[in-house]
Amino acid sequence: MNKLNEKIKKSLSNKKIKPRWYFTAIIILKDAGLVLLLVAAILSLGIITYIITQNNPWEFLPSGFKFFARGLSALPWELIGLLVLIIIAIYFLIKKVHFFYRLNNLIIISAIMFITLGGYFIADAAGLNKKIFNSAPIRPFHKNQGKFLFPNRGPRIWGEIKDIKNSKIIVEDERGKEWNVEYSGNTQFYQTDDLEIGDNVTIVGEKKDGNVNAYGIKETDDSRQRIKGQKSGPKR
Amino acid sequence: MTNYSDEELAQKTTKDQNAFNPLVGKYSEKIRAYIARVIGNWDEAEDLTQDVFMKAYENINSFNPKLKFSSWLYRIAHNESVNFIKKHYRFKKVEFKEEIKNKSVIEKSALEKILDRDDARMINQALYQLKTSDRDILELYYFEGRKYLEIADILEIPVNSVGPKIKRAKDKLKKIIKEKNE
Repeated sequence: MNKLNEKIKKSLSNKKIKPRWYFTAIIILKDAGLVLLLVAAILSLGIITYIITQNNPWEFLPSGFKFFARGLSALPWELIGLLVLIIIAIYFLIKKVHFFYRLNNLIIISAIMFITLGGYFIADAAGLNKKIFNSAPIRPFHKNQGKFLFPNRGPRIWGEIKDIKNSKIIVEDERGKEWNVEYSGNTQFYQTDDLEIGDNVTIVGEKKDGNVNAYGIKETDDSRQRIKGQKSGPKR
Repeated sequence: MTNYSDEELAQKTTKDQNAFNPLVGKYSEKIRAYIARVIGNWDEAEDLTQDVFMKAYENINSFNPKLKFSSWLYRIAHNESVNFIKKHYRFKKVEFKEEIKNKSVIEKSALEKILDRDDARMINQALYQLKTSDRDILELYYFEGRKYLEIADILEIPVNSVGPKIKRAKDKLKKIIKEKNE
């Protein structure tokens, strides 16, 4: 027996084998973590989709790079970033669990996408998404439309024009709050030639000190107001 | 104990510590040679080999018999070597040392058998110009004679990426040798 073998065997005599339950517990924890992350990915995708479909920043943004960039900044990037981080975490965890590292990376990523999308559609079809979105713990996520970096950008105000002065209009939103909306030559107007007092409008822009710098103004029908939860019906 | 496979011995170790001894006898020198070639230090390789077997013994209950025992052991050795390099060679390259090649315990690789001493020496020197990951995969394929699936299990990478990684590492090695000859 050579010196190295003797050395190794001597060092092993002081060592204890870790019990099987210890490794079983680690595997269970890893699997549970994987399931939790998948649920988090499905939930994040649901919230992102909800926010984008409810407050689509592209709905009537004027064309051009400047507005394209503003449209991008209005997306819920924080939640999109969170979803990407969750997917990366799932990818690394999946590779560490069992023998998944042997698989092609593309297969692993496709499987994650498939499970996340499938889970989202199943949750949507079962009406779970609606329930989850309206639950108290989720509210902060869509309170700011998922935007914490640029919470003031995007489609902001739905309401009725109360007054028009020079390049400013005063709009009362569905909660009865009045906003000074400033517009300029850059502001894009949709479905309207003339703004009149009493018109219902949607304004996309940027909030600043109680004023709104409008990127686009669109005349909307009454249904938009009702969807947004106005208690009394719109004025006719 | 001689009639048992490595995997069976690994499983028996959980009940009988002596079952681990044949595995130590069979793999200790191979693991030391592998680590020495990866980290470029023969003395440190001995201590690391000891650590590898201690870790393997402690974690023997985590060994999955679906995996080859040698692949599992080499994976531990690979991780230990990478950690060692990260700790000690963070800002410098691992250097080639003639003493590693000259140690009698290291079996001559197929490469060294067919090449003359000068060529083998040049290739060994060029190997140490490569990144650890490139050198590691070439070591496992050409020096250790491991199959693609075993390399995938040792390095924890997809099986279908082993071939391209070997090819890339080989191309880099060729480039270094070519530059040396010019």
